[in-house]
Amino acid sequence: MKTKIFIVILTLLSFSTAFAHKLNILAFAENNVLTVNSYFADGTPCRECAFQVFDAEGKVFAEGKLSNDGEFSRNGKLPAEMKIVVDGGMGHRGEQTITSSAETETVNEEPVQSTSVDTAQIRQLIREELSKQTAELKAEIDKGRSHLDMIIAGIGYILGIFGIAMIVKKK
Amino acid sequence: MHISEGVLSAPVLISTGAAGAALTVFGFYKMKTEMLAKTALMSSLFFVGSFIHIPVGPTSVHLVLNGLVGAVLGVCAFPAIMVALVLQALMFQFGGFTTLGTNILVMALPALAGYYLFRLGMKTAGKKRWALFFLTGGVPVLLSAVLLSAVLALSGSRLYDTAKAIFLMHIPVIIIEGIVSMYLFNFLNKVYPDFLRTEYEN
Repeated sequence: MKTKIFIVILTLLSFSTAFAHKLNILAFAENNVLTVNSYFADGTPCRECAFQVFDAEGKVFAEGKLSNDGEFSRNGKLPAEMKIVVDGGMGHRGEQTITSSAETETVNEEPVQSTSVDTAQIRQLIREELSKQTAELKAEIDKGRSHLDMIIAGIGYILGIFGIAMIVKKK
Repeated sequence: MHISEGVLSAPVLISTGAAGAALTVFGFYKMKTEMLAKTALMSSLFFVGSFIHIPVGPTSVHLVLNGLVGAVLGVCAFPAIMVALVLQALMFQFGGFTTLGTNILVMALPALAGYYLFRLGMKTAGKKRWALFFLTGGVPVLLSAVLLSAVLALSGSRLYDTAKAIFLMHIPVIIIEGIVSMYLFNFLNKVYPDFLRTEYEN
């Protein structure tokens, strides 16, 4: 009977090694569009979390609540540098500083005068696409990563620390 | 239960941080050499407990296990929890370094309640003991939720909303830790009573 109860308890617990309590923020500012996506490290979005966007001088540029998918986007003129702060509630908070890519702005506004392709422009475009994709990829890896090895390492550290403490105390 | 960096206001951070640090030093000072191995063990348990998640609604909460740690260690729960929290902050950005003292206070102070409930349980027998062992696991989590709400409220978050969310989320944790502690301590008391004999003080 007791073992049965224990098995039930154990199955009720999800032994995921993800941490629902580290708040990640994925933010892009390109072509005057700011996109913010915030999720806990196990992949659950930060639903309707309060957020604020500050510019370089520390003034509030935008604030409000994220959508049900933990997203927010805004078109229009953006400051060059922005700090995004998301409050996940219960003492959870995430912070991210991004710079908006102003260079694309000029690229897009310039009328295309020649048909010859400017390699600098292409390089710029590719870099932007890639940076966006790698950031998304990194988020994807974060969501699914198992930290079991690090947890075991942590136990090792604890035992080591107390081992040293024991040597110190014995003296 | 882990408060991230930048959530708390400076006065709250400094006062709770100082209290947490002082109690940790006190706990370490009081610790007997024989307690070190046990402290290391319970510290590891606390460290791992924070990675065991219970799904609640759209999100999840993790186990706290401060009742178990407190029951076995008494005042030595402070250094045990401190070491575990430092490593969690260092390796997983779980909590933070500026909020370390506050987190110690929020999680380790209620552990003492676990210690006294457990001692009380050891003196009784039968159903009363089972009930007290259940409370040993459950009450410290409840008290941690109270402290967490208070600390967040003092830093300007709306008390009612914050407290409500924290309490509702932690009801399953309270029940699970109560049941685990109830069976664990009854089992340990039968097979390894020496482990539960804590004369931790100098």
